Amino acid sequence: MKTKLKKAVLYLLCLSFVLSFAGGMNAEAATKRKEATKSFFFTTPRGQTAAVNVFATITETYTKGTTKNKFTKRDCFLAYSAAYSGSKPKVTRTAGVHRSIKTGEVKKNFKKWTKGTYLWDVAKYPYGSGSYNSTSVSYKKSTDRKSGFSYSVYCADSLIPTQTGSVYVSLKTK
Amino acid sequence: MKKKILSAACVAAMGLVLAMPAAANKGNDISDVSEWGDSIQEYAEPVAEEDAAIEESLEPVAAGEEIVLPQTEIDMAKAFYLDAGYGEKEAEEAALQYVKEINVLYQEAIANGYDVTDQEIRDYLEELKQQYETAENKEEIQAFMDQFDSEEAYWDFQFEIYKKDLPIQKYNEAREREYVEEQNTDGNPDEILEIQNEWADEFEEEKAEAVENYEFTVE
Repeated sequence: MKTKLKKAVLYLLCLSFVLSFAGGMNAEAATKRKEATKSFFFTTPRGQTAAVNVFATITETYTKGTTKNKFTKRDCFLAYSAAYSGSKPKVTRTAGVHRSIKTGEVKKNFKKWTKGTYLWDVAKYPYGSGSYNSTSVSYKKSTDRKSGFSYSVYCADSLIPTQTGSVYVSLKTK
Repeated sequence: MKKKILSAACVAAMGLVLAMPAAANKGNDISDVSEWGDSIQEYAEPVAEEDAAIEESLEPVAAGEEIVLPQTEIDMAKAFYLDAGYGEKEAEEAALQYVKEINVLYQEAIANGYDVTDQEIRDYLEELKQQYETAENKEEIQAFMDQFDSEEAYWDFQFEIYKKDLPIQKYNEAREREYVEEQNTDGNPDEILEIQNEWADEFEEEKAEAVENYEFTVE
């Protein structure tokens, strides 16, 4: 009986140690996400418009630390719809980066991107695509960095044929 | 390796698109859009009042018949290309080619069952009105619209224009979907952007080829 009690106490001690250790690390996974929907119109040679609606999202996954956060994954996704008659608009996007919020300067490029699988409103945006990168980077909780990507919409036979957009999320958590 | 090539191609394409001036672009800005909106005014009223040649061009053509190219449409397109910075002759050629393509696309759309009712056009224009409000380049659209006597005049004009354009849009959408489904054989959703951009090039080629299959008459 005594032995069983000892074992139980030991087990509880171990469990509380593990739990308190985990609490000290504060290793809770979280995400920062931003989505942006933007519409662009291009006036074309008979006075009609070509319309492009872009839906873009950026999701950063991170682990909370005491003073710093470890960003372990960034997932970029873009879908769009286009209504056109004479010229098909083209949408292209850049790879995700980390920039300074203050200056806009690129602070971190990521090389390896893996194509992802996504669920979205296909009735609204018939086609989309995205990719993610799993390089880990750590920043102070008060960081000046933001994560995201930009894209361009191009429609030939329009007086102003190129429009640009972007989606960024601040990585600051404090 | 394939991924690397695709990524490199993507980056290159993005750079090209950002660096490449459009066929119609000579560093135009919103003032050029206003100017063109102004140029189009002499045609806007006849179009809104149902230009006879445009009405005729909306009729389906039977095999072997000529497609009607409305002079008003050619003139409007020429005004566009002139404001875009083209020379007189280039603007005339570009306008004629553009109007041929639009009218061929329209005839093919109708032949394939993509006709529209007036109510569908009205519903579409209502959607456009709402989307314009939140458009990123709202100022550009507004600059064009401001050249019309009133907002109502602008939408009356659009109503006539979309009698031809909405069937084409529906037809294009169906062809694009078919192309993407055919090309995206491995079911990888992430290749769709690339495939859609390939479709843009394919669309340009098919359009130019289709024009060769028809005879035209300007009215």
